[in-house]
Amino acid sequence: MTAIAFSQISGLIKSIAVAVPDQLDCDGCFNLAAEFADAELRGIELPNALNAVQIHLNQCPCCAYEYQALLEAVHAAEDNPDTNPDTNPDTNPDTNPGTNSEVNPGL
Amino acid sequence: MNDLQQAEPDGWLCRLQADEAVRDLAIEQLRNYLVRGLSRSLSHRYGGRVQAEDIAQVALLKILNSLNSFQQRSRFETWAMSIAIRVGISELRKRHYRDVSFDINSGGDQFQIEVTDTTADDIEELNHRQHLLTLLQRLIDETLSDKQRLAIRGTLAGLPVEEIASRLNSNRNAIYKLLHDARLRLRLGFENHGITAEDLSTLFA
Repeated sequence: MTAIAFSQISGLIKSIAVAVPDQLDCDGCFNLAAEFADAELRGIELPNALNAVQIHLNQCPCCAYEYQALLEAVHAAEDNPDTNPDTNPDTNPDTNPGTNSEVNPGL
Repeated sequence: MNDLQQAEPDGWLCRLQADEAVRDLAIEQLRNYLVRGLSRSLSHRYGGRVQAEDIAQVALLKILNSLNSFQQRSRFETWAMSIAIRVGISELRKRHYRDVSFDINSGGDQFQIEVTDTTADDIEELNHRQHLLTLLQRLIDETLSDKQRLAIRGTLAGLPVEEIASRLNSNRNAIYKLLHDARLRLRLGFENHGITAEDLSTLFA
């Protein structure tokens, strides 16, 4: 018998509910992620060829998580050129343990 | 003016393959760019137990070895950051799940679902949910392959695809496909019993 938290079974059921055919695997998504991110960051309408990326992201929590991390990183690199991780309390894990504790199981 | 603005927007490829002085400066600028992004983006993920500088260094090697595969469909910086983020998150996942003891193979490929905590507004909703869970159990038992059951078990334990792949000596693409096919099969199974995707989403919102 496997005891399962409601949140986990709920996650599985939701992933079943949104399951549709997916042309991409994770590597295929990764290969198009930068182009997809640029379109989103610049507010450009997505070319049809990139619709497959959105379909994959909707169904793959790992890729979706990495994609969100990519958007955040590009924003940070370009919007905060002077950010110094050693001195900025928002980004320094040693001085901001609160943000450090976030864990995303299953991502 | 930051490093990026100083660099020619389309000049990364040329500069990264130029003579030593130009190349070294370009590498340093790219490294700084990656560190800025990684510092912010990775610090709050999975406990942030990596140094952005270390990840940037590993990523730089990958990037420099993959310049031929950059197809210029995106900005170079975004492409490079996508590589760095994948390196960083993979490392974070490895470190995080190294401490999670769950033997995906224990008990074989058969398992019974027992939901430990549940919330429902009324008894009718609870009964609906229980009915769906019983059906889910049946569909898992009757329509999935042994490998699919193992992968689903890993998912229910909260493991990411990458970690399930590692524990099953497989790779991320193969496990994603295995799980995706399993979900499609389960969805079809529910539909054959008159249960729509909307029903599922509503009852397990």
